[in-house]
Order: sequence, then C-alpha cells, then structure tokens
Amino acid sequence: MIRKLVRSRFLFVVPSLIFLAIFVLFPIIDIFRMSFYQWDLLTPPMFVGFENFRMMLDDKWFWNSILVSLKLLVVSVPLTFFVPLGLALALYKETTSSKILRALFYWPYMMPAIAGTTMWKWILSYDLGILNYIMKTLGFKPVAWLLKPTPALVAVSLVRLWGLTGLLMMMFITGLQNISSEYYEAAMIDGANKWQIFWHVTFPLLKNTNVLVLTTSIAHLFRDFAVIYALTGGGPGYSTMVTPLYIYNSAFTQFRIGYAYAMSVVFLLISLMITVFSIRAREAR
Amino acid sequence: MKRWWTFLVVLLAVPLVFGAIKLTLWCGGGTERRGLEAAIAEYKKIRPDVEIELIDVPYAQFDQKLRLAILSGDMPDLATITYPYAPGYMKYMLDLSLYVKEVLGITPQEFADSMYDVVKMRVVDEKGAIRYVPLHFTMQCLWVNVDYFKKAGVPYPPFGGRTEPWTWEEFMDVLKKVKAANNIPYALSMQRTAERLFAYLAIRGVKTLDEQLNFTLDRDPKAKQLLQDFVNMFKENIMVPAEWIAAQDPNMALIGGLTAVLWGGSWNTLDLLRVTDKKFAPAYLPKDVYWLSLEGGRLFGAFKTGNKTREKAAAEFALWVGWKGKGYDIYLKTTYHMSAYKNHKVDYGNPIMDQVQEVCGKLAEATPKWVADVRNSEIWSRLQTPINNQMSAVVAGQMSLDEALKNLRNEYERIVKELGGKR
Amino acid sequence: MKKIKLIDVVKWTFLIVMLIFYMLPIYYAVVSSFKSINEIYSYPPTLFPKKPTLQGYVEAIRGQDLLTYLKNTLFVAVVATALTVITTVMAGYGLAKGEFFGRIFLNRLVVLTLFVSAQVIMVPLFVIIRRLGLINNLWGLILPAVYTPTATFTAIQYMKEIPNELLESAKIDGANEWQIFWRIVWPLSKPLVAALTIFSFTWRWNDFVLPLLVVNRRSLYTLQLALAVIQGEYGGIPWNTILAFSTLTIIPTLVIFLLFQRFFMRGIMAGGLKY
Repeated sequence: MIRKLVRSRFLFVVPSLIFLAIFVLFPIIDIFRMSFYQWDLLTPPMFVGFENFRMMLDDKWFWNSILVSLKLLVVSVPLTFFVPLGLALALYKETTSSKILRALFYWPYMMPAIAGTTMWKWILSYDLGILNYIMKTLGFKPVAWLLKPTPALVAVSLVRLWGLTGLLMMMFITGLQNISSEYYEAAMIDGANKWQIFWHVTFPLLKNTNVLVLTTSIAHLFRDFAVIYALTGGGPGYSTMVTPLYIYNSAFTQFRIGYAYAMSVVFLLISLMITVFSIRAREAR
Repeated sequence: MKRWWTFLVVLLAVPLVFGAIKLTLWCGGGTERRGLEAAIAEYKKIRPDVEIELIDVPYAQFDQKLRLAILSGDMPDLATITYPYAPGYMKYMLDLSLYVKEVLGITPQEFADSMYDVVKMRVVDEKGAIRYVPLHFTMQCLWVNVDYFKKAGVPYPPFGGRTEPWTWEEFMDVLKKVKAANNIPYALSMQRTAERLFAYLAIRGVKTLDEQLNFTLDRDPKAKQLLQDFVNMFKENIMVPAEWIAAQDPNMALIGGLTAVLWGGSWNTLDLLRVTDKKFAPAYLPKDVYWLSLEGGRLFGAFKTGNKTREKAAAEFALWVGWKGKGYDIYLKTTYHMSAYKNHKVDYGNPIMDQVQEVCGKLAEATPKWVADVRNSEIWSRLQTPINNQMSAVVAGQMSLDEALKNLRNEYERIVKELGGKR
Repeated sequence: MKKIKLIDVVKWTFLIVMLIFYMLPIYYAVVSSFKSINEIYSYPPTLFPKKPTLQGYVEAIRGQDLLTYLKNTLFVAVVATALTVITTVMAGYGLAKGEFFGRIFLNRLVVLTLFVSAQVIMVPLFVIIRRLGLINNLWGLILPAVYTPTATFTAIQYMKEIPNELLESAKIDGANEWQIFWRIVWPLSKPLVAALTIFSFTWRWNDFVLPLLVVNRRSLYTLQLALAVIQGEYGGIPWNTILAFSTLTIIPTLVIFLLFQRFFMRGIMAGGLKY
C-alpha cells in the first residue's frame, strides 16, 4: 500500500495538501455555506436561503462589474503577457547587466501596492501631475487620464502592468532557462535566424509557461483590487469598478458579508470558466 | 542596613506589580495613536496600578478587525469607534453613566449636557445609558487661503474682516471673484464624500433623508435643481472635477495653490499647519435656508469583557481621557483636534486652534437636531458608498442626474429591505 | 570595428524605454520622501527636491521599533519561504508527474485556489487560525501561508517540461522515487527554486492580511503592518512620512533580490542547463 503511494508519487503532494486543506479549502467551504446567510459580522447570522443569489440577479452594479472586469481582461491581459515576455527574452541570459536589470524590473512588484499606486495617481493627476505638466510645457494637450472611462481603463491596465511585470517576467525567465540549449544549437545549425528560432522553437516550447503566465494574470485581475482601489476607487462612476473591488466594498464598507460571499461564489465559477476557455482558445491556435 | 531597605522595597513592590491591572486599547494608528500615547503616559503617573497596552490597528481595516474580535469574544478592554458604525457597537459597550459620579464627581446628566448636542446624541443610547466618551471629534468648516483672499480684497467670516456667514449667492460670488483675482484654475476643493453632499444640500434646504428616514431626493423638484447646480460648479471650474471623479485628495489642490477654499473641517488643522509657505484660516460654512455643519470622527468606549476589575479600570480610564480638563486636554493638544465640550478652553499653544474651536463650535451649536439624528442611522451609513459612486458618474458626464436618482432610489429600497425597516 | 547588430539596437531601445516607465514611480516615491510638505504638494511638481529634508524619515521612525519589526518580518519571510519552496517543489513534481487517483482533480483545485482572494476568505481563515491557537504567534503568519496557489501552479507548469524519458531511464537504472526526486528532479529545478524563493520572500515581506488577522501586539508587528498603521486616518500623517517608511521597506528587498540571484544562479551555472 505505502509502496504504491510512493510509486504513484502521491506522497510528494501530501505536505502541501495538508496546508491547502486547512487554510484554503475549509475557508472556501465556509464561504459557500455562509452565502446562504444574511450577516453583518456583528449580529448573529440569519439563514435566508437563496435570497442573496436572487438579489444578485437584480443588482445591476454586480453585473456591470463583471462587464468591467471583462473589458479590463481584454486590455490588460495581452499587455501583461507580451511586455514581460519581451523583457524575459532580453534578460534571461546570465550576464551581469541582465541580473541588475532583472532586479530593477522586479522591484515594482516588491513595492507596497498602495504606495506605488499613489505615486502613479500623483503622476497621472490631471491638474497637478508631472506628466501633464511636461505635456503642457511641450505644447501638447493634457490627458484626462483618470477622468474619462476609457483613459481610466488604460491607466489601470498600465499600472497593473507596472506592478505585475516582476512576477510574470520571472516566470518567463524560469521557463526560458528550463529549455535545453540543445534545441537552439540544433536550430542554429539549420541556419535559422533569431526570429525564426523564437517563433518556431522557443515559443512552442514555452507552452506550459504561457499557460502559467496567462492564468496568473487573469487570476490576479479577478482576485486583486489594490491598484484600482488606490488609483481610481472604481471611478469615474462605476467604469473601473471590477468585481473584486465591488465585493470588497459590499463586505467591508457596508458589511453585507453574506451577500459578498454569494457574489464571490458566483464570480469564482465565472472566472474559472473564463480561464478554461481562454486557455483552450490559446491552445487551439 | 541597605539590604533591609532593598528587602522592604521589594516587598512593597510585589503587590504593586502583581496587582497591576492590564488593559488593552485599540486605536486607529496615525495621529490618534500619538494622542492616546501622550494621555496614557500621564495616566500612568496618576494610576501606576493600571497598565494600558496600546495597539494600533490599521485605520482602513479597523472595523473588520474589531468585528472579528467581538465575534470571537476577544475584544479589547478599550477601543476607539468610528462615527458611522458607533450605533452598532453600543450594545457591547459598558454603561459609563454608572461610573461618572464616582470618577468625575458630577451626575451623568451634567456630564452629557456639557457636550455639544450633536455629540450628546451620539454617546447616549435610547435608554439613557452613556456608551461612549468623545475623543476625535470633528466638524465641517471652510479653510481659506488667506493670501488669495487678501489679494482679491474679499473679507471672510469670522476672522477675516466679516462677522456674518455668507449666503449661498454671496459665497458663489466670492469664489468667482477670488478665482479671477488670483488667476487660478479652480476656486473650491471638496473631498468626494456623501457627507459633504449632504451638508451642501442641507444648507440649501434639502434633506437627503427626512426625519422618518425616507429618501426624498428624487421626489423633491428643488433637490434636483440643487444637484444640477452642484454638477454645474464642476462644469464652470469652480470645483475640481478630479476630486469628485477620481477621488483626488483635496488637500493637494489647496496646498498646491490651485484652489482658494477647501470645504473640509476641523481635522485638516494639523495638515495645514505643517505647510509653512502658505497661510490658511478656518471660516464659516455659508448659510442659506439652514446654517449647519456635520459632525464626525471617532468616539471612545469600554467593552463589556465580563471581568469586573478590568471593566471598572477601563471605565475609569475612558472617563478620564474623555473629560475636559483631564486626559482629554492632553489628547487634544497632541492631535490638534477640536473639543467636543461647550465652553471648553484648551491651551493649544497655537492661536489657529482657538479659531477652529470658535468657528466649528458655533457651527455645532447652530446645527439642527435632525441633521445628526438622520445621520445616526444604519441606512445613512450604507447609502454613502452608492451616493459617492453615482454622483461621481454624474460629474464625469457618464450618467444623467435622473438616472442616478433612480439608481439611488433602488439602492435605498434595497437597503431598507435588507435592514428589515427604517433604522 | 564590431558591427552593431540591429537586434541589439532594438533590444536596448526597448529596455531603456521600459526602464524609464518602471523606475519613474519608484524614483518619484523616493525623491518625494525627501521633500518637505510644502514641496510635496507644490505646483508645478518637482523631479528633484529643492531643499532635501529628512523630516519624513524622522517622523516615520519616531516611536517605532523598526528593529523588532524587521526581525519579525525576516523570521516570517525566511521560515515561510523555506517551507513553501520545499513543499511546493515536491507538490509540483507530484502533481505534474504523479500517477495516482485524483491527480487531475487536485490540479484543477490548484487552479481554483488561484482565484480566491485573501480578503474574501479572511473571516473563516481567522476562525481557523484562532482555533489552532495561532493568534499572537509568528507561526500564525507562517503556517497559513505555506501553501501558495501561484507558487504551486508555477511548480506544476515547470515540472511538466521535464521529459518523462529522463525519469523512466532512472527507474530502469534502479533508482527509487526518493532518489529520482533528489538526484534528478531537484537539480533540474534550480531556476524554479530561485524563482519560488524570490516570489515567496516577496509575498511574505509584503503580506498584510495575515499580520492584520493574527497580530494584536506591537512586539509582533511586521514592517507592512507598521506601515499600514502609520498611515492612520484620513489626514494627520503627511505623505512624505508614509513614503519615507515605504522607501525603508523596499530598499532591503532589492538587496535581497540581488543576493538571492547571485546565490542561486551560481548554482544553475554549476549544474548546467542541459539534461
């Protein structure tokens, strides 16, 4: 029996699995359970059946937030895929310059999100920001970065890119270093140029890394809201109000805990569907 | 001989150390911590047997953490409580009125009556029990850039050559005049919060929620007109669009010199005093149909922990730190907050604080009861986020006012339904 | 004379443009931490402090026990990282190359956990941590963080690239599973271990949710918790103070990144990239 477990390599998974079960799985199950309650975290929870889910159907801001999340997905995820890939290609070799540059590009990821984003908010400010000041000095028209829906969405995407690149670039570098150099040598001998090598050798070999980066980027977008919270607060209006931020506001500024959990459950399922779909679409290409 | 002395000292110290009552106090960090730290240091001299551990909890997550503590029965002995959430915590707090006579030598009635009415309403529950003492008490007021007003030759009330508050029309004229005279892009800064909008509407005679907590903005034709005026102030570059659309910090435009007036409050004093190259002064909010201001900030109370000794010690400290002339003065001097007590002179060592106290104190006395009453409700605390977002969308030109009002009506109905009544 | 290649021109132009974009806010934050309050809000904004001052730093560290916070943070980050890296590399291998019942299900479960935010599960998580008696205990900041979805998913995707033939041939040579893991898989995982170490360290260094839940005592504060606390309520604490504190927390991470890199990459070069 034990031998079989060793053979099947199940034992390697066990330590992680214990932590996963206690600190992630149990809480998730609890979220599912409490999504049938009305609860403000202060008075005792009240069982309300499917009321939270029914309320969700009428809540147009919830559905709007999903739409915003999807819009951001379209703008932001390609950016967070190709820019880190480009940086990784430029920096994956072990030279001194690339080691230092890697650290610098990773730096924003290490910066506390609120402080980093607030800097962007100052830089992008319409009246007081340094960017528009430079634009005006050079004779261009200032850009209302955070005041119009589309520019705000672009600004959010750029700041997300800024904060997330470190992680994703390192994922690509790890993947690139995992590729045996024999492949390149074979391709070189065949007389392929660098672009051909990248497109026909490297990129296909990066398949698993691509899935990793893509999924991480989407998951991050569907889970995290620190950048949007500090940059636009979801504005103008509701135009950058993504679902995680909407859920957070419902849970911890209005203390509608049960309702927030119900939204989390639905959104978790939606995000999984989108991820599976986008990975399939990428693989089919 | 020396040994004997040491022995005696140790003997005396033993009961002191073992008898020490340990209390935990949660506060929201920042200046609040500094103020309480100073007060506790002083309290230690009076009551060496009480040891207070100060724990600062991140302000933005304070209520999350406090609710989790109550949920698990690990609440602190003492805590600061944010204004809008204060009614919800009342049932977990000690009734301080039982200790007032013993600690302060006055009746609970006298204690409560010495506060501004808008404070008294917040600390006394419906049964007459005193659940909180005031701590970080704030009132909205205006801050003017003194140099800009001087250059425009415009007086401001009450310390800038004019005694009476401006009427609304006068206020608008003043803003335009100061803006033109100084050639600045805007005139008025205002943080994006439902509380500012509430104050604006109330001053001009419209109640966002009436005395029965009904939402009236979409039923009242005057409300619509006033909201339209509000939006127009952004279009005419009197107010700063970025502040209401993108939640830009209003201090930035005022301190940067892009606006001449901040619709802020007593809490701005410390921020503005730190600026050394400009001079700011507090001024009255304008007076139209009503003259009023909104109160806010943080209260302070002692939790029912079940341990009588600790409860008593906690109540005693709460009353000490919340009573004028005692710990409260130390707290105020450190934080530059105004006092919540009528006729309470505090020696801040800075004349600007006397002005703030005078301006905001006047406004506190002028404020009608319904203003605090309505905002002391659960409905109002939940309606604020939707109001922020909807008005932000209107100012950004993404939504019509009618649509926003319709959405707010729906939000209101939903909140009432969820609360199971208007409370 | 050496010919300048087009591809190098493209590469370096790209890197320099990107570097400006990525460094601008950090530069702005560090520079602003040396500005006075007057200047931090002044218009037009300045790219260099006219009168540099340490006012922000003095305020930021006043009354703070920075050494204790640093010690706590380092302890949590180092221990949690060690545990995370070992368990994660093992789990990644098992989940990618295992042949047991439920493997596919567990792989899906890992992807699902990627989407769960700490903020959403914080209430039930708090209840569990409390039941385990980990409140006011630095282990309460470590144990709940050992399983990290992103790290596990990274490890799985990495392990998938390792050719099965390599494992098979070792088996034929008579190696047992344990030996295969330590002698073949682990050495091949050096780039993965380096990445996971850096990631995990960053996460623990910047974690804010767990300290918020677990710690009720100043002597157990981490740097991030102290940073969140210093910000306080709206107003009161000026931004140069907050930025000074932020700067103090981000400088060590850069140094640590460079050190880690040196340490691990030397290992990679020694081990070689080939299999």
